[in-house]
Amino acid sequence: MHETDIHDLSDDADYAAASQQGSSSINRSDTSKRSSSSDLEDAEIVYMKDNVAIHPTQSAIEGIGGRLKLLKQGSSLFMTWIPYKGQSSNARLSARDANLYTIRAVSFSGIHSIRRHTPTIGWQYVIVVLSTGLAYPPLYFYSGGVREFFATIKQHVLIVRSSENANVFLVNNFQDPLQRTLSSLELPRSLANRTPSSSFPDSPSEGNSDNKHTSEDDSSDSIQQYNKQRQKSQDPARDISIQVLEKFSLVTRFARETTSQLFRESLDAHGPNEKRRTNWETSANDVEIAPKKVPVPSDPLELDKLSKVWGQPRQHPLEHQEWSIFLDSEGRIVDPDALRMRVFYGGVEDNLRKEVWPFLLGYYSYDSTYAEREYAVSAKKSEYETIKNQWQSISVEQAKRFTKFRERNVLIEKDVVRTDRSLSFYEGDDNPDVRRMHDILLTYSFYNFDLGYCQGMSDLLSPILYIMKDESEAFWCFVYLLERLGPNFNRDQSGMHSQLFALSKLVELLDSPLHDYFKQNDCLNFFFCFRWILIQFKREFEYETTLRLWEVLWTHYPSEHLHLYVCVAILKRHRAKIMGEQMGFDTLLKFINELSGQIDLDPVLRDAEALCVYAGENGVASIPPGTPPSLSSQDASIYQQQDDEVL
Amino acid sequence: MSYAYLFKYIIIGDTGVGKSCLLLQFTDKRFQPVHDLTIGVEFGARMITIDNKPIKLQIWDTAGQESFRSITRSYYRGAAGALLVYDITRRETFNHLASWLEDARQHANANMTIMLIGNKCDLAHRRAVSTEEGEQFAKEHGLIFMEASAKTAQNVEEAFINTAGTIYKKIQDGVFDVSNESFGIKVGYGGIPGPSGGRDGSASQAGGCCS
Repeated sequence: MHETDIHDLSDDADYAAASQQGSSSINRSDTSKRSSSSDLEDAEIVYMKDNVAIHPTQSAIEGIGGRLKLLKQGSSLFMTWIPYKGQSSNARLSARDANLYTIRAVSFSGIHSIRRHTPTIGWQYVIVVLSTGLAYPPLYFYSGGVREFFATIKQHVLIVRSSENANVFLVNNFQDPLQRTLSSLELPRSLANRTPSSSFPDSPSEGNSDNKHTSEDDSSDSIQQYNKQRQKSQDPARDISIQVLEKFSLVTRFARETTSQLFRESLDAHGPNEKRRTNWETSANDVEIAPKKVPVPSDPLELDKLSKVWGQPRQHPLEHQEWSIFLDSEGRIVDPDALRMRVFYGGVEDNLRKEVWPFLLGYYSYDSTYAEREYAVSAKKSEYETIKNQWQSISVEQAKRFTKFRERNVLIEKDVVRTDRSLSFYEGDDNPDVRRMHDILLTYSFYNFDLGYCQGMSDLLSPILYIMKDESEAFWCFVYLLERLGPNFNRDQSGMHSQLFALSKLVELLDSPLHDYFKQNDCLNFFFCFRWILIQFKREFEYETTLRLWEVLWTHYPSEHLHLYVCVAILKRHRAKIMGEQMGFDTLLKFINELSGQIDLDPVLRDAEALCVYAGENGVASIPPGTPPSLSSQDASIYQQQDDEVL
Repeated sequence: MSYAYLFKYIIIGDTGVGKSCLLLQFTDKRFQPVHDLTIGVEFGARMITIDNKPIKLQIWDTAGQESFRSITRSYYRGAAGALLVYDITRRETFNHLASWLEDARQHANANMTIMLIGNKCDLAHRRAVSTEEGEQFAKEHGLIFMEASAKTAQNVEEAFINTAGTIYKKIQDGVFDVSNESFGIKVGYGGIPGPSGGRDGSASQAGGCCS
């Protein structure tokens, strides 16, 4: 949906195929390599299996049956899975749902690994994991055929059984150093020499499947079908874009569920005290290379691998054309969750932030129309002026007897001239925007007299004013931001302490050796992360990067506490240095402060997302209720709905 | 870089009195009028020489606002020296000194050397606190006193170095057990080893014996 012209998609098979992989970003780099489905019309079918189903709800009753095929074109192997039309046993699974899960021509060059599951009760199934880390939902072989499936793949592409887990098969993955090692040890050949029967246990009966279902027989047909559906809808471009996003969400969710299951199994298998390892990576230890001596306790999670599986690749920022697709004709955001997710994975283009940020902050409601917002903006403007007038009308005589006002005013005056003045927007004497910043902060201290003004607020306001430009609009956005972050500035620091406490709990959960190290070195108060949390990493990144991070955090996806996972992610990236150099309370603060400007945001966000997903319920349980930024009940209900829908 | 001793300092005082500017002038020999306000605790370091011995000063610069004190207090511990700063052009920053001092006495070690600095003495025309008042306060509370200007660099070197001199003297006099890092002093490898508790275990003529 990015590099394609949104208004002319109906005949673009490539687009349709791309959409089927769940995320457009996956395909951005390898569009040229991947053949579109329509090109596969002349492909040779090397494997076909009916009654292969996916279970969108984890309940077998609601499975969607379909046909799995392997197609060979030239030297490339492709896999497709097309659901049977109108076969769903559950009314809730509409044709649209089935369509969402359809796998149209995924090339094996884009597949990282396939994992086979053979439950003691129930059907064998496989999970296909793409090189991007995304996984398709498990494919259940109702009528057997798993062995044949692997055997066929093996004939056409290099597939190596993971030395760590016999049920994981890595697909021509020679970028992986471990794979290279294995390859140099000629393990692939020895694997290749195994007979299929010794490699794969016998599968259940592989009798011919009955073809009572009307199947959408091949991928090009289904694309035509897809196009027909799209043409029927009133606004095809919008419809599709939203579907793609929804699908992305579903597939991502599946990847998480299935992979988290894998990790859990892995953890269970190794026991809590043993070194934990992901299942689908090969291990050097297993090929009898002496284990490396590490000076510090190793990371129990192996974050790199975790992120590879769960952390999504970053997308390009949301831009105007795509943004318009999120709005209906009257300006309502049709699918707020899809928008949040989109912003989470890519951020927003700079010139669009002014429009999008008020939604993310909760200042504009998602279901408001253009007209309603226009009205609200002017009403809010006069409300702002009224509050501002409260302090502007304080006379000199009155001020003499109003210590709190004088103190706040002086403090704010002193701080606005010490906030981002090196930025051209705020530089120079008598800069009107510095004046605006002062006025907004002082007005806020009247709007929320109890909280008043505290250092750090100017850091939070600066980017908002920079983006919103308009004083009243910036004020209200700031108000809504502080609805979330206000507790950071509580006089007793309770909001900060609760976040630092939650952070220590998360580190305990996600890196117990590091937690133990902090404990031994009297660093468990996590004061060294104080600045990170107080002003949302504002001092740690370039200005532009901070804007990106903030909009990502404001989506509250996948957690409103993602900022704490960002802290964990950064700490984990430096855990070896922290522990190896035996940093103490002082030196740790120095080290953390000096990371400013040295942190690469995208990998950290990826890690943070992976950690958050991995932590799951345990992560939620580690963060005490009420830890800022608290969600409003309205937001909470949206998340609840989303969960219900997917699960 | 090797040093004979490392002294840990902390800079405290009201917001906007020029703590960060004093530090920057001392470590970088420059004045930065557009300096972002300090959030939490920041850090600076510089080598100086006292009695021909290289001494490293490790300086912790704290945010001045009241509400951050619960965090910044924890950095008092293990400080050998403190610079308590007020702004001679703002009376209230002087009035708050007692509260800062109380904080320091409560959370720092008893032998911490405190230097009182009346900053911004270049702004004499806007002076709100006289030199005598500063001297008087210092005398009453047993502090070293100096007026300085982070802008012109006047007395900035002196403030940091005199404080170090006083600490060094205390080591000579055997006030500290330099092997105990909670006093904010560390004996380096590159200089004179400390007394009994020196890292290499050898005795030293440089420090008195306090054990």
